[in-house]
Amino acid sequence: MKPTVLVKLSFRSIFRNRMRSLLTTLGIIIGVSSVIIMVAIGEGSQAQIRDTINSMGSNLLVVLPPRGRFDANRLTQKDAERIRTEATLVSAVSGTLRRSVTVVGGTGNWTTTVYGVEPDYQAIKQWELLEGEFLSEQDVKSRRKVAVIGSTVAKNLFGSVTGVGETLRIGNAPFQVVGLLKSRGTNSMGQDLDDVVLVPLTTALVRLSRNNYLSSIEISAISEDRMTEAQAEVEGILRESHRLSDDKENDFEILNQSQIIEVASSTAKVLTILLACIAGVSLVVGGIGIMNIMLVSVTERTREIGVRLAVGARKKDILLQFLTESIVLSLLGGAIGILFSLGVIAGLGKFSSIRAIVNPLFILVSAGFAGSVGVFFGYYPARKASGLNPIEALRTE
Amino acid sequence: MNLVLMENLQRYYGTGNGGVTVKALDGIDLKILPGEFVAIMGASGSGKTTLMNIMGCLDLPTNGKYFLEGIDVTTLNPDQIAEIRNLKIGFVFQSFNLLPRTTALENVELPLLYRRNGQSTRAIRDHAKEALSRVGLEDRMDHVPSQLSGGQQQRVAIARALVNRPSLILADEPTGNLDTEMSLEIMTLFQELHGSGITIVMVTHEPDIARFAERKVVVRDGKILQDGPIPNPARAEEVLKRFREEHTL
Repeated sequence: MKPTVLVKLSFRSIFRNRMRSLLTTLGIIIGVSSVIIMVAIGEGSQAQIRDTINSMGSNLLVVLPPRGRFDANRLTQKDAERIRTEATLVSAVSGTLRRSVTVVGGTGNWTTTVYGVEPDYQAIKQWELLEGEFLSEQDVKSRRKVAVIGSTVAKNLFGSVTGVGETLRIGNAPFQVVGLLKSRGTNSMGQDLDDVVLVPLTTALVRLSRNNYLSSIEISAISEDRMTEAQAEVEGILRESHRLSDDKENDFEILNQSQIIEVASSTAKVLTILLACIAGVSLVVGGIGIMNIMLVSVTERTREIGVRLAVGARKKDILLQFLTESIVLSLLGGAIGILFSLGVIAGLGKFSSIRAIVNPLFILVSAGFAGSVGVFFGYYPARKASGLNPIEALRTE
Repeated sequence: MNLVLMENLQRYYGTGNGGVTVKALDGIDLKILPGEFVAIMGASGSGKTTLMNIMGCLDLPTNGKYFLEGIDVTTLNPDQIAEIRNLKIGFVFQSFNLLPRTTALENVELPLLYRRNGQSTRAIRDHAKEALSRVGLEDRMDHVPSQLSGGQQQRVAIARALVNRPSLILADEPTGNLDTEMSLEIMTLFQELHGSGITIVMVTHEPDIARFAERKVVVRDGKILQDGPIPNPARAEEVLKRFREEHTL
């Protein structure tokens, strides 16, 4: 029998029992659409994580005290200075000191994070100013009591997004506001990026720290593809600066932005695979539904099979007829599932903040998978149909 | 050449594990020439249906030889046997066995769809239409079986049997589900087809129907009891005419 005739026959048989076919394919529809939706959301959240980490700065290397041993911190402003003067593969360096502090302003007080930073910090974080200017070299050198504030802090201290020229108090010391940062909103982890006060690192070290150790040194490498080299260079300078002999381990840790992305998105990746597997199980359940209804169909149509055999159908013809029917059924379910999932993803994009990324290749893969479900679960019923004895089949009521 | 040649044909149904063996056919010798119209008669359980199944290549003998147009059917593989059923044999069943919810035309097209050297859709359609007009149903092509009377359904089945121009039409109790008038219509059609040279083998247990054939073979207990020509077969057309006259009064 010609393939076109087989496909036509399948469609006729499927549309003859519309309700039954729809209910049967529901399993495939749910399976395919949940796989696509889960993977799209998973890829969306990976992209979101990547964006969040990229928003931390460009080509960022972060030097931290050794993991879990903050008491062993030996990072100093001098280290930052050495990196700035000696490293060739970095474009900007800033030591930072981070403290959570309550600051007092014109109309209220507010607990926020105060960062002691150096002028390069602006370039590293790609921070733009709404008003005023950023901290200068001179501010750091002279330990001036000046501050650049984020819009959240401005709102809470001065009642609106203003503040340049105003004064705020950190501890007992008055700081003059010289700049207002442009708002960056919240990142995907719900952190308010505008809830910051930036002051000169030198001032912060005197006012907010009991020793001279930094929270971190933030570094921008000159380009993305030279980050590993830059990391090695920084490591060498710091080892020298800390006078570590070759047999000693680093007393610091360097995080590389691309590594951070990898680590963070690997969690999301595992989660995506897990969700896709669960969704895949429903696809298999859908396949069993198809097998079930195909078995019923073979029983119902035993007499038809007998007639077909009597007029000259070969076993192969009968096998192909039922196999085609289950494949067409699964592919229809897959197609509906794909359309449905695209609708859901479009809806998510429009009405929620959940980001979902559809990979066209993955749509093809899931359509192929739906088809193979049809082959796998349709084979047994089709085999059963083609093995019928024509005499007995014709005698069936 | 013989169209059908059976030599010492046996068909046993065993219960397998040492149970009773049923001898449905127990040594059949039969020759049918092209162009014959044969009625096979016998009580139920006589083996006539088994004989018919083997003749139609739906079943194979346990022992003995069966040649159809000189081909030894017992040596063929299942696909070759399917092809023989497709090209050389047309079946007509007691219960019509049309595909439900499928039009008369599509039912008749069915054997053509399974031909190995597939014709074009157009040619298939034309062939099927031709066969349907041969049985007088050209105006019922788009009707599904449930919209047709029993006699019309059987005529669709006959058109389906004819469509591949088979060597042999096998009819198993073709009038068993029909009333007298429809039965006579079907027998008129069979006599017409026979007149045009088609070989027909018909299984029946009704002597009233068997008298329209030219030769009668009686089967009992798996053996041929009697085999001979029917002198002066009745003309179904005339019987039908008389029947209609009697019943329209």
